[in-house]
Amino acid sequence: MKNRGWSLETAAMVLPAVLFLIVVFIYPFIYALKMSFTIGDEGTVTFANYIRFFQDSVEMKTVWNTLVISVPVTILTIVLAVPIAYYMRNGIRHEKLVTFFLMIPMTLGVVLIAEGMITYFGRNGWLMLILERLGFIHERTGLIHNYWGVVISLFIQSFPMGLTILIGYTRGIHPSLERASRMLGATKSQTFWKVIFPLMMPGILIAFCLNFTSAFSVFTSAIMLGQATSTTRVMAYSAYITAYEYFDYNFSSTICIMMVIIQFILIGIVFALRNKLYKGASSVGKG
Amino acid sequence: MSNQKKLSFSGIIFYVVNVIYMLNVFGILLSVLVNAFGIQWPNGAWLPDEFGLKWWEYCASHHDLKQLLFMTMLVTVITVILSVLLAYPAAFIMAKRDFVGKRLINGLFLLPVIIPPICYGLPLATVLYKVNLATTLAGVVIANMVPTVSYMILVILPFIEQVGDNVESASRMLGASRLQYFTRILIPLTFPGLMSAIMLSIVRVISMFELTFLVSGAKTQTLVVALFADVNAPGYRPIQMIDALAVIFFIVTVILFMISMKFGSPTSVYSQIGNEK
Amino acid sequence: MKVFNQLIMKDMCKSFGNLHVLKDFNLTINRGEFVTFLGPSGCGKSTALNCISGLLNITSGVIQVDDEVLDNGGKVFVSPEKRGFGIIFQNYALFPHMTVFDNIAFSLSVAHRPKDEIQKKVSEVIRMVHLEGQENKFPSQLSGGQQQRVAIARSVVMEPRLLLLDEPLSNLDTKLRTEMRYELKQIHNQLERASIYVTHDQSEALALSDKIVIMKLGKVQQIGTPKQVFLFPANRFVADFMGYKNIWNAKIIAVEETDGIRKIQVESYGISFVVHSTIGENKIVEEALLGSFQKGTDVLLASRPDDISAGIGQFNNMTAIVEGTEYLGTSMQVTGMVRDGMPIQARIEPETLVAAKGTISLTIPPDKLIVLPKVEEE
Repeated sequence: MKNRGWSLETAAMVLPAVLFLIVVFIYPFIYALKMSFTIGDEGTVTFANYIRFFQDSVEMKTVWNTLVISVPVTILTIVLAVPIAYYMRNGIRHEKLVTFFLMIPMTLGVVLIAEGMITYFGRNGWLMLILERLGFIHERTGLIHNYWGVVISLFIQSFPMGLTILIGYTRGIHPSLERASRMLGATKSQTFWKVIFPLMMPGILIAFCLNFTSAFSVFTSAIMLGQATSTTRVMAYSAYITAYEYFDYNFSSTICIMMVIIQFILIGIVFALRNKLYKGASSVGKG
Repeated sequence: MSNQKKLSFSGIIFYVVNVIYMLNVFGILLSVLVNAFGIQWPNGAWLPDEFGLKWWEYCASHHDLKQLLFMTMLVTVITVILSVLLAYPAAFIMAKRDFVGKRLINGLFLLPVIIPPICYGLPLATVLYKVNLATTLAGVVIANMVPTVSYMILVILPFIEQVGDNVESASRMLGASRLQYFTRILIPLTFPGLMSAIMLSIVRVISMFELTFLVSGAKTQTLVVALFADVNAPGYRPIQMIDALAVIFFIVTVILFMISMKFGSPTSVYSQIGNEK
Repeated sequence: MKVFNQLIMKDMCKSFGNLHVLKDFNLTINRGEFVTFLGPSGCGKSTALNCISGLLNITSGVIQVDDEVLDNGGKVFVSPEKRGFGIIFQNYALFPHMTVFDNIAFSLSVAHRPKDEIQKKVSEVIRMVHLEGQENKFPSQLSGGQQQRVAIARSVVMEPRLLLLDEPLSNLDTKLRTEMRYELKQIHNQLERASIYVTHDQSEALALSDKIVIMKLGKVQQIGTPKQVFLFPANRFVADFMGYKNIWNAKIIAVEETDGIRKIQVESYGISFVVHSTIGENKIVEEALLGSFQKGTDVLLASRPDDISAGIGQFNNMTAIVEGTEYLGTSMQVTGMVRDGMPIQARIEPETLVAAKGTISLTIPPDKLIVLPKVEEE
């Protein structure tokens, strides 16, 4: 029935956006790929940048730093967001208000939250004062300018995003499935593990991927709240200073490409694990 | 359902995590506010000794606030207007037409939303420097448009999908031209979607840091970049003064956010991404 | 789970805040009975079903099986998975991530039954619902009718002591619906347990049930066998639901009772009608009319279009002005007006010649007319 050809109308309306993204989104990637295989302005293809990347202990440490920050944050977000999304599956009281407060950090952006954290999580900030008064700590140390500052700021940003995706998925599971399960004799926890959780699985994977990619490319908070030159030197920062301080665009491109590759590898591992654990669950539809 | 009074395991996590999360976010924002209006906050004290506008004056004298606000607004408005001009027709085609390569283009539109800005920002900045567009207003706008065009398509798409196919046929049969169908039928029908896309994009562009940071120059700095620069600048900047700047940024963003909440939920786009896959 | 002899609901009420969706529901269901809750949407039939299943708890009253109280609106509440009832939902609610086999085996596997027992029982019910060879398919790969069978099998395999069916056939097309209706009844007969069936379709209710509960706005209107509710509706609502399309205001002129037959003479819109009925066959209406059919009482006179024929009979003749006709194959539907405010619908011989805007003589046998109390239910 439908004509699958390109009409003039289709071309005129969709191509401007497509061309724009090809020029400013796809082309830079291809350009970066080309750069990563050359040195300086020479045109000869070489693997030198990649060899350097794997031999450079600082870069290897950087990859490790990035993983040590991003993987725990992603896992923590998912582990907390799954039960919360499950709890919110049928709606909750004051839901609009709760959503509003969860969305504020996402809206304000990473810079403002990081800036605020400097005061609040600092050695003389309210959190430390409260913990000291309550007797949890003896000496105020502050949670910024180290690993924890970066992790906390990433969690504040990524938790609402992960939760939102998962809520969308739990609400897509028809409530009658849960009722059916209960009527067939399953307890609440059996219902969760045998029905709800497997059906949330695609959402968990999406949330994991999106949260992981954004945590893995951490940049701003690693600089503002960590020690970007040492313990929280992350790949994005490394790519940035290579280009902007050492003006080595070729090596910077290599780091960018490696960043994307490592992300894909990790996401691939997660999907492979899922396939092993949940065979045949691929045909999951909504309700 | 049955035992509503008994708090479940998931309920406990819900309350504990949300309360801790919100208290800390609230604490962060409040300490910025208090610090900006305090004169001197002694180490280990709960509140500053005295309050005043000293750091606001300091902030005004060290920043060209007018220029900062103007540049922020300029970048935002131009980015959003140009993005909507590209995104709306594209969203219409994606919602209503079928053509060879649609899946591929769909993927292209999705990528900038799911790939973090820093990943494509660095290569993009390199290219922009090469063609001498970096540090110019055009460069900043182009960089910000990449995720905004994608984001807008995702937000508008479901609104256009809701308009029945027969509405278009009917308007054609009644003698409306294509342009008239758009101006008289489609845009009025999808106006709520259009407005929410515009408002949500404005909020996003204002707080979008990495892309602007990578391509902007001294003249084309926006509020969020100035805030970052203040924190990380080599010389000493008093934190109270930075907090004052942060409060300005906070007020601008929250007002826009509240307006945008009237039009739609900023979270809807993420459930969209889930559905696409 | 132990089979019960009686499921008893006493003064069962359910309200959500100020909204009373179920009022004083009283019903006893015996072992082996097929009971239907019938009524339009919003009548409370699904709420009643959910209360029995335990998916909702009742506000007041008692639900019990034999001596075991399931819910008393207060402290006692047996949760749904412990009641041993099976339920089939309108949308089937099959688990999309499980195969047909796993769906059917679900209740046995959550009860940690041995593998070979599960295998044996599932194979049995798969044969029972004719799904052999589909075991490894996912629900999305099945047709609507097959999905329905899986839903039935999934509930039946746990040998529920009560089977609850929430409009299970409404998503199927007409032909399939009739077939499945027959199969459902067969399965019910094989199980020898009780079933409760919720529907808004009177023909389904009549075809399947041992007992029909007709509901409106949360209140039971009539409980009876299909024949009782069809032939002797208790009030105007039930009559209308059962196809008594002609309901006219009338007044009793004279009553004569001989040999167990009650002959009532009524007048409606100036026309005199004679109604014959057996004394005691419609107790509810007799009670509503206080047991005495007094002269001058305002009543309703009801009849079904199928019972009216063209021509002139011994009693109850009328002349109607024809407003429209519809050819229905086995009959012809005539819509007309006998008097101002006295419309009539009749289904007559399809070959009858009827002129549009012309007149037609119609007649109703005295034993096909019923008298209903005028007092309106809520």
